[in-house]
Amino acid sequence: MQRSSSERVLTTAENVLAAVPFAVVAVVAFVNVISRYFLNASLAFTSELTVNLAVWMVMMGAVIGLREGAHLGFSALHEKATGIARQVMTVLITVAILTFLVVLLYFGVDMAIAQLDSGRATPSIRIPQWLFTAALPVGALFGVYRTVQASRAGFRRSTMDSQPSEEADR
Amino acid sequence: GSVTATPDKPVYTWDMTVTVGESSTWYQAAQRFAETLSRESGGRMKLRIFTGEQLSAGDPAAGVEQLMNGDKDFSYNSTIIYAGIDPRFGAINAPFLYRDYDEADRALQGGATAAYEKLSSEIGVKMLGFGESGFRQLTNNVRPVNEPADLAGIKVRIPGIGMFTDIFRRLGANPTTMNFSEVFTSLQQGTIEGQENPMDVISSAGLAEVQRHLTVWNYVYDPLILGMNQDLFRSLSPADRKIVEAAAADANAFQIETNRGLEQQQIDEQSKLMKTTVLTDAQVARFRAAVRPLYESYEPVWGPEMVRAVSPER
Amino acid sequence: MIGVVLFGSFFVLLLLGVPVAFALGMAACVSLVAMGGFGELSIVPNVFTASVASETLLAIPFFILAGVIMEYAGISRRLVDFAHACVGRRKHGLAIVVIIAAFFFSAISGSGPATVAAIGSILIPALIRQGYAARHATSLLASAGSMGIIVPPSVAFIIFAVVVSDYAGVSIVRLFVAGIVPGILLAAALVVASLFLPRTQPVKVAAGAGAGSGGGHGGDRGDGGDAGSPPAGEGAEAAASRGLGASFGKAVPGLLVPLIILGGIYGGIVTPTESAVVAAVYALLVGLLVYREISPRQLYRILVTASAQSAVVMLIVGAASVFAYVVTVNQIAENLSDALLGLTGNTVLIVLLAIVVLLIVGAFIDAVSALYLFVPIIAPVLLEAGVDVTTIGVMMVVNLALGLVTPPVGVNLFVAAGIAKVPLAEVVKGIRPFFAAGLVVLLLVAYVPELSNWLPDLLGF
Ligand code: NA
Ligand code: NA
Repeated sequence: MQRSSSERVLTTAENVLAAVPFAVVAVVAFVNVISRYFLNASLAFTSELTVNLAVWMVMMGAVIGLREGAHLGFSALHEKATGIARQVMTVLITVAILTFLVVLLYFGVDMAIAQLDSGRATPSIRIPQWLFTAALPVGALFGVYRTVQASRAGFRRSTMDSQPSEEADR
Repeated sequence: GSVTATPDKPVYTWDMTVTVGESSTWYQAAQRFAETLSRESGGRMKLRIFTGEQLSAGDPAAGVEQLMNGDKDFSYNSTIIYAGIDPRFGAINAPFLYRDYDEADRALQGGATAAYEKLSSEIGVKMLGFGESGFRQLTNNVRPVNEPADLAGIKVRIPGIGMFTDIFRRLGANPTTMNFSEVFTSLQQGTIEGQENPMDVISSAGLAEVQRHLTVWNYVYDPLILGMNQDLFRSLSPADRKIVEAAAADANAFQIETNRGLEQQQIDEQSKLMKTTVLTDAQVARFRAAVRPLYESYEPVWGPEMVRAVSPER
Repeated sequence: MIGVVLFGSFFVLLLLGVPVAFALGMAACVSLVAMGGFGELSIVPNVFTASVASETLLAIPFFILAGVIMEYAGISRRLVDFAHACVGRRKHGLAIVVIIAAFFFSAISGSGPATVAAIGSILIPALIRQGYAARHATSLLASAGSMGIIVPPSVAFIIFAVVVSDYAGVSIVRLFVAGIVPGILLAAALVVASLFLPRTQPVKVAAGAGAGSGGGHGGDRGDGGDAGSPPAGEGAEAAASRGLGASFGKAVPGLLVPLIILGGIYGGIVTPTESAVVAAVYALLVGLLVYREISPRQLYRILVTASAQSAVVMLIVGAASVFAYVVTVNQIAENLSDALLGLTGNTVLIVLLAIVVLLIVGAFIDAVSALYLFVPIIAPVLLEAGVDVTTIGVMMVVNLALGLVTPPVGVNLFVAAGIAKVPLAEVVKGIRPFFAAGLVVLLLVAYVPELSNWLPDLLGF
């Protein structure tokens, strides 16, 4: 597949924004176990970090899922349909996915702004809460692009033959 | 029968959540609140009650945010949960702040309630008074806890708020956070060795089956805010506001009375099931001294106004 | 009324081909607007983040990460080799190897498709070379993989515990233990079914030529094999020719994983979430230092793969929680439960009704979505009928495990078809005997509560 350099940058950004939070969550959780059992020193306060970072991991992982056609669904009717019917279905699927993403985007921004205004921060480490909520609009924005892309391809890349993220090999 | 809405007599359907289950005094009080609202408004005010933070996927902090932005109308939530949103709310949960309910009541009437009303208003919540989760007590499986040194190394499950971590670390314990649904099994398995909660929770979760020692030490006073979305409150007619405020006052009084009545009964029952120590004032004083340095680090967080408002009038 | 809008729009969107997570989210959005205008939508990000940011549910990405690492580390292949050395030489031995290896891997992995992917890429080609038809090879793998959510650890049990907590409390640990006996029963039933598989003369191929090459393809895994997957191993047939001892030795680090997970949880050392992260780190160490099949630069790839796989599940959790919010505020589940209870007071019939409903639901949607949608409706009814919560959990999970292999939406079928590069319809043709075996186990579990409760009671959970 021909891939432009901007496409590659985008893919890298998506992968990094999903993988780094995952790595941080896993390392922090592991260090917490070790410190609690072997050093008898609790890092209980870290749970607010791991739990909240999961939002970034989920949103960006979901974008990778959109990119690679990994989200599970019932595609039999859509695959069987031909001609206009198929095109109409493709448009409707696209609209449905985009609408949900736009809701997450629009109201996610609202929520992040409300948290920014109220100064809400995580209880112990005091990380501003909006930094985590921002995963919703940011992820949704990436997701919108990937959905339009998949829609152009007619959602043909079914879950069966999804390819590994080539970028991840580099 | 059905009620017809007219411009001066609007009909409302409101949602309210409580953090705990249907067997709790919180839920009973919410039901009483709903009944009073319905009766006093001639059926115009309908209140639907949801337990277990069902409207926010079980997450109480997200539930308070719903109350703040008007996605929800009413809730009973602990100040501990509010402190997760704005740490100033944690002032009244300071460790070993009040000796007993008399002292707490005097502080509440002496300015704490007014201060919390003002604070709630700042985040968009109309506080309709305090209910009460009661004093939080400690259970564990390692040894009787009579003085700070007894807590050394005990793995205690705590709420996920920074101050609780600091209290237990200060006292030499090994605190950890965990979903409450896993607490019973984790105590049984030894993943954790102790936990702290109001008597009602300790009793209704049957923790005595998996815990040997109970320490009645009144270490944290845990009031409940009966909150209403502020914009909603302001949109009501003066007459309707009065109905809501009077019904709330009645529900809170009922909740506190029921909770305190049950608490003594629960301590009596549980002390037959667990080795129970009720700490003396002198023993509590040693704990208070041990956590004293925390006050210095948290007073700037709570702010001088809140610190003054909650301070016991000794 | 809102209930009709909610479930109606969900099924229309689903049938159109909208992925389940988005169909759930979109149906909820439509219903919210119908309830009170666009302003109601402000609840969506609130409930979405609240449900996803959960300490309990963090176990899901961690168990998935552990599973991905173990595949890269070559642990799954060594488990297959060991199973092969145990029983591979008997008649139908390889079919039994599949079931035993799937059982081992199920004790590591929390999901069905991950189990199929982990061992399928090695065992499906091997089965075909031994003379099994592709339809039988793939359907056997798909069915054996459904043990992934019954044998602990299990994503499905974690979700069940979270969702059912509004109605009855049960710990994840108790559910995990309760899944062991039904898991063994299902393995036994699948062995029986596989004994009747027809077989032609084995095709002679040099050992190792195909087996073990390529990682798992597709499914909900978002990852293929090829460049980044573990290097080709010796192949199952080759392993069988070597001794039991040698293959056991090589499999030990893998066999220790279930011990670490279950022993850690049951021994009171770690919580289920912590056990998952410990398992992931352990697998990583095995892959880096013992088997040396993971290079540090592959770590990035592992993380990307695992985060995409986790997100596919967690996006469903988030969207289903918004869906569940609409159900709760409109008291839809209560009304449906009451209606169900109104149909009959006979416990036997109610249980049967629940089974039929979940078989139909499981045909179309995945286990996680089904649990969010149907636990609030079915659990109160079964509780009312006197069924204990542990049995309800095991029964629903076994029921939905069957859904993993029922068309049109059967993830395990997708993954198996993807690995074998055969059409889905071909896999479906072979599924009947295994589905029947699963159905027998489901009925046993539903009507004999001791099967679920005996072990956890015995061990005191
Ligand atoms: Na499993
Ligand atoms: Na299915």
